[in-house]
Amino acid sequence: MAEPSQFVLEPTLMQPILVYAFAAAVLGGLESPVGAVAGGLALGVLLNMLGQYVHPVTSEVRLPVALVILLVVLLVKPAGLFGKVVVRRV
Amino acid sequence: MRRLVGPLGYLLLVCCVVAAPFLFSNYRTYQLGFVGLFLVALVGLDILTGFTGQISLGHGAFMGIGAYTTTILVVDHGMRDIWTIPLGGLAAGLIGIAFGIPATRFAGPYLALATFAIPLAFIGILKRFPHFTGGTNGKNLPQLHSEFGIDTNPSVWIYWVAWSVALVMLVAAHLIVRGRFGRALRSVRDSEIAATANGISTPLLKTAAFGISAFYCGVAGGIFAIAVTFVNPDTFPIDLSILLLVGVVLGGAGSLGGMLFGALFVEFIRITWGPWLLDLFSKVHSVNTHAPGSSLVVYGVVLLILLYVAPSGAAGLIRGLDVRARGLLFRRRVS
Repeated sequence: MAEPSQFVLEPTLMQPILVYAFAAAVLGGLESPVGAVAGGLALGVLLNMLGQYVHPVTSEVRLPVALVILLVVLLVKPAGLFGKVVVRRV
Repeated sequence: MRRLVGPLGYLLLVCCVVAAPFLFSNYRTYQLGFVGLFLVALVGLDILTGFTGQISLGHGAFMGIGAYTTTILVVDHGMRDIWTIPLGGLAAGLIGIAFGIPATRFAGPYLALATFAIPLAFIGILKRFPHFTGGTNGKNLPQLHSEFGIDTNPSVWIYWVAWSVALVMLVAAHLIVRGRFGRALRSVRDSEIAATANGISTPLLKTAAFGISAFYCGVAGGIFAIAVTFVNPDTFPIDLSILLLVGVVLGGAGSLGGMLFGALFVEFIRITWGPWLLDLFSKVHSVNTHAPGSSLVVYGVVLLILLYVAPSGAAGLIRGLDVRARGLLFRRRVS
């Protein structure tokens, strides 16, 4: 996920990581440790493959793409890949 | 008596707004114009955060969407700048709804995290399509000028534009949060389970609140673009989104009048007090006051101190004084 600008050490360095990590966690399923690993790996590989082989996805839109993946997961499968659908009794 | 407080306060505000340009210098008037547009943005965010209870760390980006809509329509399509303001609001509102539909499945801190991604993604998209948005350099608007043949100083003109919009949208916000719809919003904030049990569709309401607040921020962004006459990706950093939330909390979330204090705080900490405080810091210890993110330090420190003094914001502080004053009056009457 190295972008040229990220090689400079600055306080905002980890801001994009936060978004990638959150998108990965949601993809794998929040509250699922296995999902975190799977989601992180899947998202990381997917984003880099997209960047390499899909021309319109340049390094600038990598983060927006992660956000779109996050939103699509929420729409299609809000519990994520490994999350459990919780039914609460009230 | 109680019922008159709102309208009287509003009337007082209108009087102050009309009087201000005659009392202050052109530069201060220009700054007060910014207070007006931040008031619009804060009132919008307050509908989402204060009344519906959904935290957003991304509303600076909706201001950015409004600002870019205005800029592109004015520069590339030759539209008159005033008429693009509502269009900027509409564009931001639609994107807000589109984002709100999936994102409002989150609750609490998760929604804050998801919205945190909006400003970051927004900056990336701006840089990706430079022929449309101007890329890293941004775009320049025509110089600030008064319209409709009114001959005033441009800073006074933008003051009038910002405040006429702000005063109208303040009333609109009051109407939104007052009736049945507003009660439904508050019920979502207080207990989602109870709201659902009463037949309220919480996802629909949250999405609607998200759209409305994005619309407000888009309108504010349109005026912002006209006032500063240029937009680039650095104009709408994540700091701005956080500052908006700080403004809502300091003004008193869930109070519309309190947003006036929030807006004053936002504009003056951004331009006047913030740099002054940073200079003060740099006297104690040598710091680079122009480093990116240094303004966040000031916002953080000020927020912590003010929340210690007034946990429910300016509105809560005034309410507390009001209660205390009533207590004193009451005691005197008894004895």
